[in-house]
Amino acid sequence: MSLSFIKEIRPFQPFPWGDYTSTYDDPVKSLHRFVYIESRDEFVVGGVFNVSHLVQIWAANLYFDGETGEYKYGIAAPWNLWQLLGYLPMVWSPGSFGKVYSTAIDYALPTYMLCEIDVDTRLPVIVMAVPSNTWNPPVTFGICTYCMERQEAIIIGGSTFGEDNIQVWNCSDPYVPVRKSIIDVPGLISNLCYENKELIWMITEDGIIAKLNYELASPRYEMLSSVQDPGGDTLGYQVTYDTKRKRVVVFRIRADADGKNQSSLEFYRPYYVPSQITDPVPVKKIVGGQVTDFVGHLLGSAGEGVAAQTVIPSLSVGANGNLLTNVAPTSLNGSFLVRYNVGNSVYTDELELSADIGDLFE
Amino acid sequence: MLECIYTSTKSVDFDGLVWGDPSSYPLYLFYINDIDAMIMIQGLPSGGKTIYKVFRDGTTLFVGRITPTSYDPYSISRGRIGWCGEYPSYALYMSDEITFLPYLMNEAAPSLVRPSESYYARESYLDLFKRVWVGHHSTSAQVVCVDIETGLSLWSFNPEAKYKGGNRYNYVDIDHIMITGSSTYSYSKSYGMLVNINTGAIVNIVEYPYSSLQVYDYNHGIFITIDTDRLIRIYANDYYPYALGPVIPEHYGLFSLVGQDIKVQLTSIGGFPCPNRLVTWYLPTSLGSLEKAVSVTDADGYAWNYYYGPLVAGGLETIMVGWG
Repeated sequence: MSLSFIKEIRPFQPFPWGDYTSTYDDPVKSLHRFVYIESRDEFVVGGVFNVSHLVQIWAANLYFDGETGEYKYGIAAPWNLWQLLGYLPMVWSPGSFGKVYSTAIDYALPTYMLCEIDVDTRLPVIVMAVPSNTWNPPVTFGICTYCMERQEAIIIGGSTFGEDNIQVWNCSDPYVPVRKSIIDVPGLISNLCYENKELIWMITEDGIIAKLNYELASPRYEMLSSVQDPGGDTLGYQVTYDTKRKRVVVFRIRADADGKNQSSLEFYRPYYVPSQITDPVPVKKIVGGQVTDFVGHLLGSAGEGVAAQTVIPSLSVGANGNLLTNVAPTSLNGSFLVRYNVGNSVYTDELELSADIGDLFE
Repeated sequence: MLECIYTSTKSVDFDGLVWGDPSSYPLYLFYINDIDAMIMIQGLPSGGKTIYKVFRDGTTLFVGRITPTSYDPYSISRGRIGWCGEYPSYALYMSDEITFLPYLMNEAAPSLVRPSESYYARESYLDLFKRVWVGHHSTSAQVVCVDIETGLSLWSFNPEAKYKGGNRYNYVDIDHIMITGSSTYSYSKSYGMLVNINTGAIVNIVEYPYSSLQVYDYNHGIFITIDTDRLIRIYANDYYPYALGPVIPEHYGLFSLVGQDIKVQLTSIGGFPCPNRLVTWYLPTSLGSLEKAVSVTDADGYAWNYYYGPLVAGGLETIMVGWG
């Protein structure tokens, strides 16, 4: 299964006094959060922005409509208050119960503060304090990208220190968190987001999107896909999951152009999208008077096989051989087989393949 | 030598790095049963490896990256891959079926005892059905098969120098694996040994005409290569003619005036008979005569003809044969 592109919202103009969304320093690091708030049916992009040539630093949350993705309003973020209290505030991240969570590190104790965010006041409420020096084995990652499953006290954290893995921690004993599992990832993690008690989504700095079942004793991936047109002028990605409409939403970060915002929201739906048929390749020698098999694949946009579709082979007019396969169904991995009866003279035939996939969204 | 039946028109696309650069060329090729396609793994100059999905027509898709620099893939029975961990344990991990990344919590053979540290755990073959592991010595290239539970050595052999290394393994069928050499980039040709996993006997040797990465697609019985020109070639699992033996008179010597059956055997590079091939016959001296100018080899690779001896005694008859 892959992700099919639904729509893109671009550009949006976040501020009434200007179009600037340039970030304060590094445009990727300055964006701290991208979260879907189910109770308000809104997306939130949080970060430190330039708002004009004169006022360059503004820690703000930008709110977008959950249905349309259109920009609604921006509000100054309150988290600088945390810094005044001596904590290093961390990112917002979605978790269980449809809530938004955040962490803060108290270096004096040292302790991770795991907080629930009041989405109306945007202030944190500490729900768990975990000493940061009692993790077993000692934690080797910062909880910079993470999801929280609060009922079972599970934290799914993404390593940001070059080890490139996801670690699942059971914090039911907050004084001795235990690592449940460690999962390798297909690239440098940019962001994680929570879907439910079994599944999380991740996006890498390359734009690879993966769906992971973290609950299993041996966690496994359930889907591998990517954003459309990765690379180019993209500076980074953040991902979140619209739990109401079952959509994956990506915030693609781009540099401003001529002072105007170029970042965008992209909406995806987990669905097969047949996008190409590989060339038919013979797997038997072509001998006059004998049958030769040709094989190929019907592939989705991320290279995954598309099952339960049909591929129609046809020969050009005046063909010398003939087809023994009129309709080739695709198997679970998207492969199909076409049998061709070879003629007895020396000639060239052209084999064409087509697939009628209909309207997948009807 | 195998017979090439297909050359792709698409080039395998891998990040524009130069084939032959030891830090960035494609290192491994595996046929993966689940996707009926190949996984190509490429080294990165910065360390780590890139994983691509490659289809038979050359279509290439980026799958992801693995960052730990010392992880190497190995082959698992029935067309799967795993990853060998880092020094000193060199643990063998299973791989995820979607991303092909290692399951770091899932060791494939935790009881495996290699004969010594010098036998590579990486670049090996693990048969989860027969419960054996096949690997090679890092310097001598000695190939050894051990029971993964007891560590007992079941068989071993030392391949000839040209096959030295033996660090590419592919599942062929329940009883056979294909072992290919290491320095595929320093030879103009590549060789593969088809080895019986039960006995360690080499049952066939195949020669690939290009310096390439090779893999065996056991679902279709074909060999697939990616060559330095980045094209995919498919070779039929058929013994390609390599040598004709001497013409053998069936009953008497060729000196006889009596007509008789004669035969010649057409064989592959490993000495295996090549059936259903055309053999041409020619008598430059024409003292006698032949019944047929062309005949077809039988199941044992023999082409038959009938030679009519000369009417007059004396002289030396030469029979020339060729294959087409």
